[in-house]
Amino acid sequence: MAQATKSDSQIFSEIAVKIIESQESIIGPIALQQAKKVSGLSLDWSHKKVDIKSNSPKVIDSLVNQYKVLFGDMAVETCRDVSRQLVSQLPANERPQTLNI
Amino acid sequence: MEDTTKKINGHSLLRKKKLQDMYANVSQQMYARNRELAETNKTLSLLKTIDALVLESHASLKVVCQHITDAIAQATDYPFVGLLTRASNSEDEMRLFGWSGKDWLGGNKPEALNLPIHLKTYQDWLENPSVTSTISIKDVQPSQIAENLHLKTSDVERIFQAVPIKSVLIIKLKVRRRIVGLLVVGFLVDKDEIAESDTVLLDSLGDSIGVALDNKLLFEQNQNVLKQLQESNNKLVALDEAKDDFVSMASHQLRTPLTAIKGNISMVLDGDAGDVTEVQRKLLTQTSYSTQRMIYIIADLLNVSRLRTGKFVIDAEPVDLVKLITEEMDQLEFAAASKSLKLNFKKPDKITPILLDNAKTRQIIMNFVDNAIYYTPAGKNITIELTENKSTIEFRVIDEGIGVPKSEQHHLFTKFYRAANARKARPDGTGLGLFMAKKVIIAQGGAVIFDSKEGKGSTFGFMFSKNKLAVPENFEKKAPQAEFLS
Repeated sequence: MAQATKSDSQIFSEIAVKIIESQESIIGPIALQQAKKVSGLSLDWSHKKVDIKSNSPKVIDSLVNQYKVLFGDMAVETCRDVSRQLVSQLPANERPQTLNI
Repeated sequence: MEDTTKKINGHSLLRKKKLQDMYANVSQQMYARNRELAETNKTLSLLKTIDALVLESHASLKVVCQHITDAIAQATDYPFVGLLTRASNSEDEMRLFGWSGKDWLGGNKPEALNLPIHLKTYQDWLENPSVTSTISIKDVQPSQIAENLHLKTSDVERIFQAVPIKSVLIIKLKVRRRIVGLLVVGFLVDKDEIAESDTVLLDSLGDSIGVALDNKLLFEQNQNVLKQLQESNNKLVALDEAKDDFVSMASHQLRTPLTAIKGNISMVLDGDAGDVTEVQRKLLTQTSYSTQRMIYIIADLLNVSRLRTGKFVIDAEPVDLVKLITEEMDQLEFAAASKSLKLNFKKPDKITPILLDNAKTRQIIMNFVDNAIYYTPAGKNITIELTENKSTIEFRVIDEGIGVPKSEQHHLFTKFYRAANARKARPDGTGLGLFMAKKVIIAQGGAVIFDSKEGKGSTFGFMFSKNKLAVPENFEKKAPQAEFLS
């Protein structure tokens, strides 16, 4: 039985992809424009790839806040819903504050 | 002046703030609406995929289940999706036919997940009206699961080690008050943390998958019934062939002694064994007639068998129908007289000979007249009519008998069919006479004449084209050719 283990940085990248994807399905291209404004986030959206340079939890928090500023708490709720399963795989002290339930 | 400017600025700021609040409010409302639409869209798109998979697939239930779980896993990020369903031939067990958790478990399904779940064990739970149940893995011991599912505890522990799921959502797939399957979804979060959007999505999928599985199960059940019917049919065909072989062999064996009996009776009647008294003549004539009938019944049985094996042949030769009919009538005279029936033969003085199978045509005539005698009440008339027209020769037996009910007339010339009133009047008939008569008439290029009114009487006969069956000038009888009839 092969268990695929993911590194934390992989999980953070996947969280960012999930968040941007879900926001894109709701607000369209604005989601991508807002994501590009987040420092520390490097996007290759044609390949659905996101790199986070350092301090991943903080970068994810910034991304979530970017949407919160525009669309309020519901945008945060969306981010939490889509990243729930991935966040649960992170150690408790590594989890982004905005997504910690 | 200064006060006025301050007032205006204050107003402007207030208005700006109000506008900003309004803008934020509208944006959030729009966001909420769009989110609802995006979720609905996701559900609909998944439902559409599942519908397409089921409707367009000719694959087995197992493969369809696998496609469904793959589609769900692709559209979501659930670490484990399992679809259990009843096998089409089993009512009391379910099997995991579709599963998706390859990221965690690798490509091969763990052996433990191949085992069936016995529904009787879960009767109470299955009958519980709630459709969805959520289990927190921390609340159940692997040994408890292993015991319920008839698995080894070590296998269950290994699965939980490989897939770190914290909760499981089980949806009963109910259709027509019957559970057709279970959709099992594993989550990496605890049961209280499962997003509402996930439960809503899975609820909607449950209804659609249930109907899809039910249709697939019904289709497979139909296929199984069809297969069983085909197998039964094959067995029946084999039995039928064995029966035909037996009938064919028995008929051959019976024909030889019967011919000898008939020949000997004929010799006695001709006076070859001395003088015959009137009483003896009557009895022997009746015996001869019954023997002939038996020969014809045996011939019918043989011909039916030959039809099936493609060995049915028409042995054509020039036939004078007046002579042939007269000879057959002579044999039936006694039977008619014993029922006080009058046989009237209306015939032309002379008739053009045509190419017919002598023995088989005799048999048809005998069959038509014999039936008329049987089914006509005593004291009535039977008219036998032979007419030659410009292009056809037509033969009719017109009786004043019981007739054939309208509703049964279209079955009359089919194998073994006998009308209800005929069965009552004559229980010993084979139902082969008219079937064979039609086959023989059509095989010779003729047409059947039939008309009947229940309680009034019937007309049976045939019509042959003179041109088609004309005897060539230098006719020489050839060895008969086999004719393949359907």
